[in-house]
Amino acid sequence: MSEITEAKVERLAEKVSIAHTVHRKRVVMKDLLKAKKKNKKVARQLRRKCGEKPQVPKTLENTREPDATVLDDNDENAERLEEVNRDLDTDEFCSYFNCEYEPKVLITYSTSMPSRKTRRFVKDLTHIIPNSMQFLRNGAAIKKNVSKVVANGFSDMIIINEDQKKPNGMIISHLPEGPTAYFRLSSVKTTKELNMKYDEITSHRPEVILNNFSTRLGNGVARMLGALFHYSPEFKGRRAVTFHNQRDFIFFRHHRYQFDKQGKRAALMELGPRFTIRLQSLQKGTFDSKFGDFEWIIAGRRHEMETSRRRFFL
Amino acid sequence: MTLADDYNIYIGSSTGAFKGVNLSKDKCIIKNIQNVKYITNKASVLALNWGNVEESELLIAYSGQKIKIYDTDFKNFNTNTDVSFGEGDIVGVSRYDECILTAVKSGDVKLWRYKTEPDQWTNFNVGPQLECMKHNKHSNIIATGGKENDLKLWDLNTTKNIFSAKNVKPDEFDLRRPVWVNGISFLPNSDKVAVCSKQGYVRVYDPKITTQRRPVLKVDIPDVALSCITTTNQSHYVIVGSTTGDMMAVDLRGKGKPCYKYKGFAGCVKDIACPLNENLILSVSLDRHFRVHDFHSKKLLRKDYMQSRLTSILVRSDFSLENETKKEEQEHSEEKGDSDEKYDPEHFEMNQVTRENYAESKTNKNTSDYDDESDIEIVDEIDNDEDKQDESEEDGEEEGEEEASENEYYTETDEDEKENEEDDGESDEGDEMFPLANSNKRKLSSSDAGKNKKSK
Repeated sequence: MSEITEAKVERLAEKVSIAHTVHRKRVVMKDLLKAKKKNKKVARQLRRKCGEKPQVPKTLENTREPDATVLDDNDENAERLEEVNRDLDTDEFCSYFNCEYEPKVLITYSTSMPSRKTRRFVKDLTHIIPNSMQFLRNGAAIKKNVSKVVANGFSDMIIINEDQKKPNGMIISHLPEGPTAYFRLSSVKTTKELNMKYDEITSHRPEVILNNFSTRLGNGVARMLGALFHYSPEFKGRRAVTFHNQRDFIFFRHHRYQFDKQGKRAALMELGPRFTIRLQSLQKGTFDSKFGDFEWIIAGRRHEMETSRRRFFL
Repeated sequence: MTLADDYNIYIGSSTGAFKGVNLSKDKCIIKNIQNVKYITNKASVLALNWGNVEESELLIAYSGQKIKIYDTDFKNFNTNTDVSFGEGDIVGVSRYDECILTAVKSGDVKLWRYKTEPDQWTNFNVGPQLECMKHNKHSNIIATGGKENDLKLWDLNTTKNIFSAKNVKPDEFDLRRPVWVNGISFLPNSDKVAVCSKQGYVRVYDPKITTQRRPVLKVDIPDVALSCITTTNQSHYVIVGSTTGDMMAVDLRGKGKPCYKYKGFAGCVKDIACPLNENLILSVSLDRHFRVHDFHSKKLLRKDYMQSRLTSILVRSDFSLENETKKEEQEHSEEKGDSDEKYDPEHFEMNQVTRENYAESKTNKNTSDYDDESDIEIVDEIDNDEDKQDESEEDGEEEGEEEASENEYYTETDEDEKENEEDDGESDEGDEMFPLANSNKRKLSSSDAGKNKKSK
């Protein structure tokens, strides 16, 4: 069967090559493409009959360049993994993961006159993050007032930057000792823009899903994002927030789920907001972009670091 | 020379992990010296320094004002001492007159003379917000500096201030220039002290000129917060690293300018070390990587992931890429020509350069007051001489003549330096020694000129 189709493809290809008018060429080309498609299909069917399994399509993710900081779990790496675990166990977020405090988050703006969209977005954030409040700084300097924020018992601070009346940046700073991460913020859709109402969002503490963070840097960022939310979710509310990392872009979604009667599938309802963040820098200590020690920064060395489309950092 | 299984680099990290690295041409062995089970971010390594001239004792300063002493011969931690005095973390540690010297952030410097009673222990304050304390090896001088606390030199015997730097003149708007000394390094073969700052400048002070407290050389690197500085085996270069992950070499000849830039960093360069005998730059960074760059070609030769945020690095003074030197040299004498084929051309060039450098350093050493040379080093020098003879035999008379002329040149330059230190340094010396370096410099200087025009 496949031989027949192959022969047909060859015959048509010859016709294309000797076609002397553009119109004629176009007609034959159409047939050729059709025949090629059929040939492919036949070949595939033959392979299936022989018992060959379908191949996995190549994507950027599954052909990504190996990262040195992703350690396989084998005997050679046992000591290195132990060191990484000890580092994680005693880092700045260890007290959160030991459930020693309840996170309290301050959300503030970059300007004293935020636009409507930014205000709406921040309002959405206060609905998602339990025990959070928004605050208009009226031009108070961040660097100088960090101590005051800490004194008021806040465990994290989020600053939303805006440009051209749209939110475009997000700084998340863990208090009192850092770290501070700067994310580029894009594709923001507020709850209202998704035609949802705030009544839909209950005040139950949500579950947090951190997806696909594999490298050491990604681990740190995921811990940071996770530490914004309360450590014990209220499952009664059936709310889930997701930070899904795909090719270094972190997608945020907020859903309410409902399992069907068999308890196998879940129906999802998106509540909003919806946004995408991308890490720009991670800095040790509280916010100090001028003199702070950066653990990871891409500004100024993008061409040096983004050497390939298959290289990802998170 | 160190044994094959000995470490030639030591690295400290913010988790308190302390690592030994054996770097040679064909392999790199990294091992945790401290047991990984007990490391914690609460006890991070802040400073490393040698305890004695033989480099068999290593001082490690931890946060929480604690010091451990590591014996490199027996490979164990000798003592774990609490040195709580003053406030804040330790910024520098060293050993002087058989006692431990520490400086903490609040500016308190103390000599822990354990043999005598605590009343007699020397301590003095060097000013608040201290960021850096360096001890000039084999002497009684320390240098201190910090945020709004400019460079000061102190005599440890008398605890008196020998030299205190004066800030440069206000800028064109008549505004005071802020001071933030973040790294200090004593330039080899001179009394000069180089300083780097988070405000983006490198300054060189000469304490011998008593009439001038302002820097004799200032190089501005605007908008770059520098985090560390180190000297190289060539006295007119210093290497600086920045908090945003830039590393560059600064040429201190003439008016001084940043000349090479080394790439490959993702985070703050925390500490840099340059071995005396190799043209390499070893650096540790907050992005958890240890990197090796070639000095002149600027290439990244090695990059190793080390799991923790690295904070400090220390290199043996007899560091060499050839781990079994003596054996190889025996082969040299037996096979002469054949052994050269083992090297790839770049490396071979490098080696020749290092040998010449070694000769230079040797001449300098004779003049300098470093008397405590260990026997091992002298053996090395002899070996090296033999090597040179071998080479000259191979290449015939011409090579020998060249060498002779070079030697003459060295003497000349030495005299020149003595006569006028601020002489414009672009002489023929560089041409012969580093053809690569000079071509780069030319390119850079032209580009620099262009930039200047633009800025004007």
